[in-house]
Amino acid sequence: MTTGVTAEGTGEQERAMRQQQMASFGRLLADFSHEMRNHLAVIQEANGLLEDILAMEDSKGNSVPALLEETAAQIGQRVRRSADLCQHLSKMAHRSDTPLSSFSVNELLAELIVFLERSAHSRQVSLQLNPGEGIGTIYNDPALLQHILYQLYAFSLELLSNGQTLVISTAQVEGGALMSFCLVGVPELDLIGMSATVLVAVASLGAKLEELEKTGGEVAVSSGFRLLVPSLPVAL
Amino acid sequence: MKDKEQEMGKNKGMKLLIIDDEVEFAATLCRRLQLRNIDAVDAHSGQEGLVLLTEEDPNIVILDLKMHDMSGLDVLKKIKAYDARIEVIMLTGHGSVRAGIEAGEKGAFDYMIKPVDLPDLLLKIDEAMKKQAEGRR
Repeated sequence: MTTGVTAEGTGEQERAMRQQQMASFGRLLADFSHEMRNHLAVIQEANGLLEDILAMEDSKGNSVPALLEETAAQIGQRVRRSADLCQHLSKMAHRSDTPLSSFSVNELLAELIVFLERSAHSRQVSLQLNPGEGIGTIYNDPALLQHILYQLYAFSLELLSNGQTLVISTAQVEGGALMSFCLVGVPELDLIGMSATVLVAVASLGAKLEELEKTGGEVAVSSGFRLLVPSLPVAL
Repeated sequence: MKDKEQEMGKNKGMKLLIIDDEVEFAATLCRRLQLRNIDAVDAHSGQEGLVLLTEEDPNIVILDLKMHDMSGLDVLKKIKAYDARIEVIMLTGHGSVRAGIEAGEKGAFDYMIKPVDLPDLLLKIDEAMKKQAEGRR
């Protein structure tokens, strides 16, 4: 006879379950990027050997077709770009290794931006990152912040259209960091349209989401919002 | 291939062992180092690496962190127990810096993230050789 298990958990259990889910997802991504890097390493070495052979032929006075050299250079370039992407993916995945940690908001944002550029580009929206200088690390939940930033980005992208720009800036404020999303060319936005689960996540991070003052005088040319992320006391 | 690269390894009595279970990677890297006059051999598992360690007596080992039969850190420990003067450059596909720090604590010369650019690896090998030469003086 089996014992019945209730489907509903407490808030704490729910949070623990979500953290575990994030950690599993992070580990899967980290393993995937590790595997990809191994393949890229093999391609890079095989291509390198090809370049070595071509260079040797060239030095012997044998003519090496320019197209071959060009192709080998192209492969090398693509491998390096793919390796960079894997590196970003891996760093991003490792953000969920521990629920709370010290991290740089600029580094976290830079990792994410690499993957956001493509969707912005496909909508012909320019994405501009203005990282503030001298921002120290904060102590909070980096994986949850990543999730929120992605959702804020998706929300912004829905409001932006062809030729407009999304400017994401960071700054240090007392007790944490400030991340601003400025939607250039969008005169108005309403945070009420934001998904309720995102707002729950913002609250769970202890963060505050506020609308930015509109700029451009009587006729607003940009609107936006900012996220104030607190640095929590470090647990000993 | 640059002349400077070709000169590396010449007259230095350098012996290099690559331990990586990614067979194609290890074999191709080995071939490319040999083309640069570096006396290199490759092993495709931790166990095979430890056998070649005693047979070949290398100065430098390039060691993968994650292999199917043994962890690179365990192999590193055994290499250092065999001869602490051998400099070990760890290669990792992991993005986490934790493994690299741990390798450093266990005596690795340095660690690099795959895929590596050969000029960067050659530079690291050169630095490891210099460190070893200083230690022997």
